[in-house]
Amino acid sequence: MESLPPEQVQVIELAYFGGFTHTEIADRLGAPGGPIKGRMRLGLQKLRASLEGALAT
Amino acid sequence: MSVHESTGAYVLDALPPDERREFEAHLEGCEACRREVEQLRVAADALPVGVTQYAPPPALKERLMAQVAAPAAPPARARSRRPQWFGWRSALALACAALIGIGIGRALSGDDVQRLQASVAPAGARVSLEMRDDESTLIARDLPAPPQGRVYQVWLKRRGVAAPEPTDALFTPRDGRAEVDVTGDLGDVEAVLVTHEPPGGSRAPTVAPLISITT
Repeated sequence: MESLPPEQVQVIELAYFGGFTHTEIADRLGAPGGPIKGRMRLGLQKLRASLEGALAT
Repeated sequence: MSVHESTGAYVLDALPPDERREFEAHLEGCEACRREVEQLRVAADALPVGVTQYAPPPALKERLMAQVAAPAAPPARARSRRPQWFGWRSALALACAALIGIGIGRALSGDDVQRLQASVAPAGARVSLEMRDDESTLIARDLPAPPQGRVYQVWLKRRGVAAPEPTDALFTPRDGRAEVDVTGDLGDVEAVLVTHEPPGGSRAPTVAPLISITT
């Protein structure tokens, strides 16, 4: 998680551990919902890539 | 905003109900999204590992509370969170499975699957166990939520062993539905049991099994 940009970590944490939807997160952060979904997707893609890297070593 | 962008939010259970239904309908016809969902799920399932390593829960909680402090209203619907107790072993196993491509077509292939119905289950619930060579999946429909502050835990009753063996398969149903991978060797397992336990699970059952599936 520490390798991710903070804005991606934040939305993933809020969704996963906080239980909020992307629209609720957008409301709270004062941002439009679409980019929130994009950040979640990008963040998870990066996490997966680093997981793969960790498993390959 | 393309519907394909929803994969991450879907895996994090962060789509509002109407959007979730829409996306699930889309998934049926979009192989690329199905593949991506499988891939991202591996990352999501490993999240508790990342948190344990890099951000102790109290710090995380403080940060979350600070972020969401203002309105006291909780999210409007009952949500089952992806389990935080999800063990690193399971995460790693899932990751490995996905990496060698097992996860993807699994649900689609009907080969070599033995489906067993529960002999004991809560009234109205439909619970079955799909057994494959290498892993099994407990599938529940119309299963009531566990009591407040409890989670369901899966146990293996092995032949000749009185005490059920705990598994790290813990879950809470969402909209009555749950699909839980049961790992471990089921060779000498007589029954797969489910109880409700405190979050994190127990080493020995604290209540009588609510679900029993005789293998």
